[in-house]
Amino acid sequence: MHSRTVWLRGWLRAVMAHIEAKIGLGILLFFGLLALSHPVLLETVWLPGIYDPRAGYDISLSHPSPPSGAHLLGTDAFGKDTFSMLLAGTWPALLAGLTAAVTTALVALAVASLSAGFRTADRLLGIVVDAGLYLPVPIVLLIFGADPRADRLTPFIFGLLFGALTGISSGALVLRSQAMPIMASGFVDAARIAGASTRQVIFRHLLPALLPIACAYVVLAAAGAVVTQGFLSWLSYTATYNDWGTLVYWAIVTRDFTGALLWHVLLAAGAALTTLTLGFHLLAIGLRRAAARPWSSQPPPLREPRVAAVVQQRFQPAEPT
Amino acid sequence: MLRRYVVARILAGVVGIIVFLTAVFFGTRLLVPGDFADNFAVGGNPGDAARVREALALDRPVWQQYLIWLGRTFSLDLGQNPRGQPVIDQLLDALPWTLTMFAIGLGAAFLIGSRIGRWAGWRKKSLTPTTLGAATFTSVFPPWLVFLAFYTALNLFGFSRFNDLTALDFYLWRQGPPQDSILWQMMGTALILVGLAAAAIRLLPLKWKAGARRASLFLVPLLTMWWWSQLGIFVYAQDLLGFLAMPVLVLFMLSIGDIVLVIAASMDGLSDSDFVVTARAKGLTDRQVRNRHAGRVALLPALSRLTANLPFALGGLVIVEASFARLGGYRIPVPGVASVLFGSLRERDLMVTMGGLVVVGVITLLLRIVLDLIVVKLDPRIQLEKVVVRA
Repeated sequence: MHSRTVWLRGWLRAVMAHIEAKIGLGILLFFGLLALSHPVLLETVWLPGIYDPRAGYDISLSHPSPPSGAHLLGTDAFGKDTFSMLLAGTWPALLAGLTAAVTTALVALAVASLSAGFRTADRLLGIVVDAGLYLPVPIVLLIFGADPRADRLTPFIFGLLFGALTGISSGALVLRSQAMPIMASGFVDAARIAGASTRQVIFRHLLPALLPIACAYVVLAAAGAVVTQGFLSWLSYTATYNDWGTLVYWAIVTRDFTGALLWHVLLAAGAALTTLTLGFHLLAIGLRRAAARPWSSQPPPLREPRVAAVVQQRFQPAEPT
Repeated sequence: MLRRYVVARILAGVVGIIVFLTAVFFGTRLLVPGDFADNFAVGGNPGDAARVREALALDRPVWQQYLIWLGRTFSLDLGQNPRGQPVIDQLLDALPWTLTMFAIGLGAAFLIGSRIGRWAGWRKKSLTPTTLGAATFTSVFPPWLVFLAFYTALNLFGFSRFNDLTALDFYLWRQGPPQDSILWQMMGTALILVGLAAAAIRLLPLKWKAGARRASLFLVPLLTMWWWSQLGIFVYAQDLLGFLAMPVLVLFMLSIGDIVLVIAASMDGLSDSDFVVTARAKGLTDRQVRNRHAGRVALLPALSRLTANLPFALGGLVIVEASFARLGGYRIPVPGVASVLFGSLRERDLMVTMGGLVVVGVITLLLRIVLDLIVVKLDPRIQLEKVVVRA
């Protein structure tokens, strides 16, 4: 493998050494499989007339029905299959979380590297970040979603907004404070002496060093996005129709006209939301532990042999004459 | 030096707040379509809407509206709601509810969570049941948790309806004092007593300090209650605390996991650092090293994390409030800032929405200054001269 990606491999190995990261990644992959399986199941095993998450109805049963062989998690008060609705709600949640993670990473890393590299940008961005910290992100999204006329908050747009707001406020704060010690460290000085431009310092030294902690923070933001999106759909403020939050809402609300609480719907949807968020949280713990003690099993690979050589060459102690 | 730091911090905060207010003004303009006069679009004639627009200065250019709004906001005039009540009064009535829940819930979570986290992070294990439990607690979906908490409490205490579990005593409040003034009094007395206790403990000789600190955990609440009974507000306080018990409990459960995780993480990083090794070499017991040496240092990252997460914590409180209101558990919803915000969103009442955001921003600013001061006080490595120059 190319020498530039050595640090990436070492980092991945260090992350996967932590059991939290393994479990968290496992949970995320599991939900990814669930999301993929839904269209496949509807194509092959399930009759769309019975199992469609929006309009399915099983006339052979009275609804709501408890879990059975035909309906693994039972049906809700409208006769729709709970398991199918649960699977249909997986993709919106995953999409919101992943979009939020990527957007947070891009915004926060951009702010951090700009303010680490350029002093004027640091002044301006400092004010912006400071102002962003007064913004309560869930409330802003609530205001955005509250307009009943427009179905605006699709999972993708939700993720973009959540990521942008989180990235510009607390994400940028965290990464900026992490970037400052890196910029003052010895290897950056060495690179500067060797003639590296600010751009080279940012892309070849700052960003790789910032990446571990950025990943940990970004995955945490994804967890927040999943919870917030569930909450907004619970209030029916998002554009998604089949959603875990909506499922929780209907499970509680139908209690009023069916007389009994639909425990199978409530527990399934709530547990799915909690487990996916837990997956993101555990992955974040693993990533953070790996970032706190990077490459604990082996010495860090020498990133720039050339720099070391150049530094040595230029700063040879003067020979006594 | 401290005074200069505080002044510099407040000045920086004011600059931040102005940028924040600008974002709030133009953001709400962009996010919420239409204006207040649109409420008359159905049923009224166009002249009515135009007259309302003129009266509210909504027909002027946006930058004029912005300057008018900014000027009024700084003179604490947030406009009026549709019922002609000043927005600032409406929000100030709601503020003590939110603050009480925030203070009790988050304070208890910090006190207990930091102890659990200290204990959980000390042994370098990969994944303890405590960390797993804490991670689960932070991941729980709030409305779901609220509902489960209600349902459990309902079955435990044998109530038949949600309303019986959490409602203010109607006959007590019918001729009683306004609830928000009682809440302000409750918070004020508690704060004064905590401050007095802290000052008294400082004056004590060293050998009595630890015992006094432990005793104050019981004495301060007792004294507070005694003071309430002297003020004649004890029955009201009791009723209010019972009313707030469930939301506070849920907020506590939602925020404790995060605190445990942060403290455990920083303990984990500390357990092989030099000063811990030195403390061990001095012959201190494991518990002493953990609580007195590593535990205190581990508080710092948790505090700065709290600073960065304040808007999220306040947003979480809003989520909890909204969950309670939506579940119909309360005959009247918890009358906090969140309820005001939700009401304003329903009525498309921009003035109240913006006012709510302003109040949340100002609370965040004040709490951040307090937290920054605590960090400066706790961390001797922070040199105020350098900080002041930067701020």
